[in-house]
Amino acid sequence: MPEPEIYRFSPISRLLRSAPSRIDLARKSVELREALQAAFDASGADVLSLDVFDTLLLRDNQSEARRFWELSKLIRKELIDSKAHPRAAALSVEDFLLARVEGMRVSYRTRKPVKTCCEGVLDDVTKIARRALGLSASVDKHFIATEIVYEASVLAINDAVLDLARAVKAKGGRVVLVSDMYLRGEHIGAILEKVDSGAAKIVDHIFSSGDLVVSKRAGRIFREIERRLELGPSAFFHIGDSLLGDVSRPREAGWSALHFPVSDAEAQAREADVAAFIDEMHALGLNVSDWAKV
Amino acid sequence: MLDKTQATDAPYEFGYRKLGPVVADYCARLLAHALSFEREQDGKVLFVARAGVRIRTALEAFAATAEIDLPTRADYLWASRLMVAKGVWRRSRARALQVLGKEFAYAPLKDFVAAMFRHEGLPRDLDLNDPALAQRASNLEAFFASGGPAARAVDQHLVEQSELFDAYIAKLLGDHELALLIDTGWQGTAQSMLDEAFPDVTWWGAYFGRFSTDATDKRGWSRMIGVVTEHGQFDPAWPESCVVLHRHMIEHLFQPTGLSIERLAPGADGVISSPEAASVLLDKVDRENSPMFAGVLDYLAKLPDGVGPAALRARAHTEWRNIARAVVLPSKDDVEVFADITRSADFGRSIEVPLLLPTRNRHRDDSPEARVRDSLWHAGQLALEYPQEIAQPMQRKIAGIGRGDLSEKQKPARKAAREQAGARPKVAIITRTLDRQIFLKRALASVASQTFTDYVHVVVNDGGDNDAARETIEAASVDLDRLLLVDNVVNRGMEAASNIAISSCDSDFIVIHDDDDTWEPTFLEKTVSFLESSRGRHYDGVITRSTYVSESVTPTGIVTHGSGPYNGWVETVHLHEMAVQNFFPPIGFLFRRSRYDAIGGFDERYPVLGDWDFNLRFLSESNIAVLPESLANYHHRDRGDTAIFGNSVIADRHKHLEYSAVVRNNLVRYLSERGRQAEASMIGLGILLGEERDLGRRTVQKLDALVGGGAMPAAQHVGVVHHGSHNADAMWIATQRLAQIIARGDVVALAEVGLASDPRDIRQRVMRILARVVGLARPIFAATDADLSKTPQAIAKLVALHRDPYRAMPPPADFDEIRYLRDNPDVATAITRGELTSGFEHYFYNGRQEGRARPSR
Repeated sequence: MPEPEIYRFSPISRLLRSAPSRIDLARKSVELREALQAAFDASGADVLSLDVFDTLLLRDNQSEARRFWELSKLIRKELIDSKAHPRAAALSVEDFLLARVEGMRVSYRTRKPVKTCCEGVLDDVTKIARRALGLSASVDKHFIATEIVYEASVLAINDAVLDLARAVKAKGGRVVLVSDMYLRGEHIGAILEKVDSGAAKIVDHIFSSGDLVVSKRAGRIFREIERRLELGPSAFFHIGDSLLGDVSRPREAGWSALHFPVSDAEAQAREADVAAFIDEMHALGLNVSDWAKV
Repeated sequence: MLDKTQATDAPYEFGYRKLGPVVADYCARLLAHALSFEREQDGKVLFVARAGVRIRTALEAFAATAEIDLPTRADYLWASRLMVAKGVWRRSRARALQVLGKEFAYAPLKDFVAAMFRHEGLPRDLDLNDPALAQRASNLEAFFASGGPAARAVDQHLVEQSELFDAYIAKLLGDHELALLIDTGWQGTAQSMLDEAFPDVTWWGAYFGRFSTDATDKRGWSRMIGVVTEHGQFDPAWPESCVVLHRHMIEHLFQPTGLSIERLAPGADGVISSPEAASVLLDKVDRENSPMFAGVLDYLAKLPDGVGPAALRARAHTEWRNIARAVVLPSKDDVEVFADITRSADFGRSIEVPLLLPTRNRHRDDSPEARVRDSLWHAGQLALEYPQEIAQPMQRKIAGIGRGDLSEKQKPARKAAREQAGARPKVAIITRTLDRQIFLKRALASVASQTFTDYVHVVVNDGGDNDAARETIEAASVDLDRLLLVDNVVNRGMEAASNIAISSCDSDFIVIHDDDDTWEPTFLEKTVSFLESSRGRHYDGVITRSTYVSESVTPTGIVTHGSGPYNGWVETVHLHEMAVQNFFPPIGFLFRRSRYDAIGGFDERYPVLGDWDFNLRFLSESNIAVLPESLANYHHRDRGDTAIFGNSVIADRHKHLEYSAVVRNNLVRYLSERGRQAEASMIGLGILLGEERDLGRRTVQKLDALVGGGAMPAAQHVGVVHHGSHNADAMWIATQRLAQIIARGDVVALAEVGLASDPRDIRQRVMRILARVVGLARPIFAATDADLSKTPQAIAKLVALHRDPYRAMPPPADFDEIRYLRDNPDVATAITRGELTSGFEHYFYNGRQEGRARPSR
C-alpha cells in the first residue's frame, strides 16, 4: 500500500513566520522574491494591491501602544520647541497620550458611517485630542506633521515587495496601496515619500479607509476600488499582513490575495513590549489595558 | 443625634474627595464627545432634563477650571421617559404602549390614568373610582380598545402631547440631522423611542454608564455611549463598573430638585416647553440641601489634582477603586453617606422610595433577608442588617467577586493575542474527507471562524481526488499556515484515516471535525479553556451539547430542513450509558492526546462505529465532562436519496446494527482481559437497564412528535409560520396547553387528555421534555390538517380543556390582537373585567361562530 503524503500550504507565509526579522528577510531572501513574483504571475492579475503598514512598510518590534507614547512625547516637544502653545509645557506626555487615545476612540466610534462602516480619521483625532488638552486649532498642523515624521522614522521599506511592485510596473501593470488606517491617503503618501521616495513614485493610487470610511476589514473597500479603477475583481492581486482584511475579505470579493504575516519572533517581541508598557502605565496610576495593543 | 451640618459632612466629603475626581474625568470624556458631535458632525447637543441640568452645571464648572471649550449650541431637552412615551404616541403608538405597559404592568388602571395627568390634574368628568379602572394595567391595548371615558381622555391627552412634542422637537433641532442626548443612563429607552419615532434624525446618546438587561431594546445600542462604563456587570479590574450595582448613587448625584418633566404646553409667548422646567432650573445646590453634589462642584472649581487627561484619569482610577469598595463591600460607615437618600418612582407616580430600609420589621412576616431583597441597594442593606463578618461574604456573592478582587495590588492583565512562537499547537483538528468538496469547504469555514486559533488543522483525504481537495483548501479563506493536507492515496477507512492524520502532527488536544459537520465559533475556546481549568484537570475529555441538523444536498447547494438538540438529555457521560448507545457525536468531543496515546488510538478494524469503540475504551480509563452550551452541529442528510451524501448512520444502517454487538462484546472482553470482570458484568446489566430506559425515551419522543406535528422534536419548530386556519389555531391552543400541562407537571390533566394511561408512569418522562418545551416564549408550531388527522382525539381534548389554569395563552404570532380588540370593543371591555384573557381566546371559542373576522398580522 502506498505511503500517505503530506502537503503543506503557503510556503511564503511559513517563511515569513519563521523569520527572526522580516526586514532582513525581505532585504536578503531570493527565495521570497521569487515566490512573490511566482504568486503574482500565477494570479494573472494586472494590478498589484499592497497593504501599507507591516507590508510595504515594515514596522520595528515596538507595540502600537509604545509608538503612541513615543509620538506623544515628540508632539509635546514640538509644541514646546516651536512655542506653538504656552500650555503644552504644563502637560505631561501621558496627557498627550490619553487625549490621543480618547480622540481615536471617539473618532472611530462616532464618525458618520458609510455603507455601515465606521472608521476614524487623523484630522478628527487631532481636533478631539487638542481640545481635550485645552489647546487651540493652530497646533493641529504640528500634530499631523510630527506624526508623519515619526511614522517615517520607525518604518523600513520592504525590499522584496518593492521589487515585485517595480516588476509589475515594468510590465505595464499598476500598483495601488490599500490601507485600513485613520491616516488619509495624502498622509500615507507623505510617509512613503520620507521612507523611500523611489517607492512613492511607482504608486498609482492610495486608498485609505481614513478617506473612504469603507474598509478592507469590513470587505467593502474592494468594490469601491474596482469602481474607481474601472476594473473587475480578477484584475487584482493583494498582499497584506492581516488574515481577515488582507486575505479573507479580498478573496471573498473575488481578488487574489497573499498573506504576508508578521513573524512569530516579531509578534512575540511586540507582545512583550505591550505587557511592559501596561506595567509602566500602571505604575503611574493609569490602567491602559483596554486599549493598549501590539 | 447629628445636627444638620454634621449630617451633611459625610456626603459632602464623599462628593468632594471621591465623586469629585471621577466626575471631573467623566466631564473631560463627555466634552470630547459633545464637542466632536457638535463641530465635526454638526450635531445638536441636548442635555436631557432633569439630570441634564446638573450634568450641564458640572460640565460648565469643569470646563471653566480646566479652560476647555464647551459646546456652543447646546440646549435642554425637557423630557422624562414618560414625556417621550407620550411624545411618540402618534408616531410610534406600539412602542409607546410597550414602554407604558411595562411600567404599569402591576398597577391598577386608575394609577396609570392618574399618572398621565399628574401635573395638570384629572379631567373634570373622569372618575377614578370607576370599577373598570380597578383592573390591572397589564393589557393597555385592551384598555384603549374598550373606548371607555378614561381611555378616551388618556388617548386625547396623548395625542395632544405628541402633537406638541413634534413641534417642540422640530424647533429644538432646526436643520440638524443629528442629535446627541446627554443623560445619566442606562439603557437608552428614551433614545430608542426617539429613534423609532423620528427616523430622519440620527440619535446618539452619551450616558454616564450603559448596561443592558435581557429586555433591553438593542437596536440602536452602538449609538448609545457609556462614557464612563459599558460593562454589563461589575468587573473588579474596572472598578467604575460598580455603578451597575449601585446606579442610584449616580442618579441621586445628578437629580436636581424640582418636578419631573411629564408634559409640554405652549407658553404665553407661544414657545412650547414644560411648565415644570422652571422648578428644575431653580435647583438649589449648596452644602445643606445637596451636600454630595455641592462637594463635587467644589472639587470641579479647583481641580486640585491637575487638569490634564492623565492626571484626571489617574486620580479617578484611584477613587473609583475606593468607591467600588464602598459600593460593593460597604461597612455601616459607608452606608451612612447614603442614609437619607430616597428615589422617585417617576413615570407619573408620586412615590418616593428610600434607598435603604429601616432595620425594623415592616409587617409580621418581615425579615432582614426580605429587606435586603426589597432595598434598592442590596449590599448597603446587608451592611445595615448584619455584622460585617456575615455581611461581607454575602456582599461578595452579590457582586460575584473573590477575596482579593478589590485589592489595590491587583495589576491589569492582558490576554496574549497568540501563543508563544515555536510552541506546538494546543489543538489538532482532524477532518476526514473523501470527494465531498461542498462539505469540505463548509468545514474549513467552520474551523476558520473559531475564536481560538492555536491549532493545526489536518485534512486527511482518504483516497479521493487530491487535486480537488488542494484546490478547495487553497481557495478557502483560511490561514493556510495552520493547515496540513494528508493524502492517503487509497481509501484506508475512517479510523485509519484519523490515526494517520493524528500522527502527522503534534498537539495537546485532539478533536475530530468531520467534513460534513460544523462548530459554533466558540467551540474550541470553551472546550480548551475547560480542560485547562482546575476543574477540567480531572477530565481527559469534554463534550459540548450538540445540535442535530437535518439537511440535503441539492443542485443549488446544501439545504437545511431543520435543527434541534441532539440527545439534549445528556448532562453527564457514564460508561454504562455509553455501552447502551453512542450518544454524542465526534464533532462535540475534545480530548487529550495523552489519553488517545494511552488507549492506542482508534481501532482501524471497524468499518463503522469506530468512534463508539474509542469512546468506550476512553471511558474505561478516564472521564469526559459535559459543557451545557450547544456548540457543535451534527449534520445529517436524512431525507430523500441518502446513497451519495448520506451519513454512515443513515446510509449504513445494517452495518451499524451488526457492529453494535461487536463493539459491546469487545468492551466486555477489553475489561475482562484487564481483570475488571465486575465492571464487565455491570456493563451487561447496564445495557439491559438502558434498553428499558430507552423504551421510556421513545415514548417521550412520541409525545414530542405529537407536540411538533412532525419528525423533529417540538422545540425545533420555533420560527415556523403559523398557518392561520381554524385547525392551525386549534393546534396552537393544543400545543400551548400541553406545554402548560407539562410545565406544571400536571399528570392528571395529561391523563385526562389521553396522553398517558398511567399518570405515575409519565411523571419522569414529563420532566425530561420539560426543558425542551418550557422557556419558549412564543413557540410557533407548524400545523396542518394532516397533522391533526393523526391525533384528533388528543387535540380535541386539549382544546376542550378550556378552564383555569389553562385558559390564558398568548395569541399566535399571525393573530393581530390589537386590531381584534379595536374592532371588537365589547371583547376589550370583557378583558378589562377579567371575563376573558385575550382577544384570541374570544375569537377561537366564540367570535368565529359569531362571524367576526380573524385579523392577521
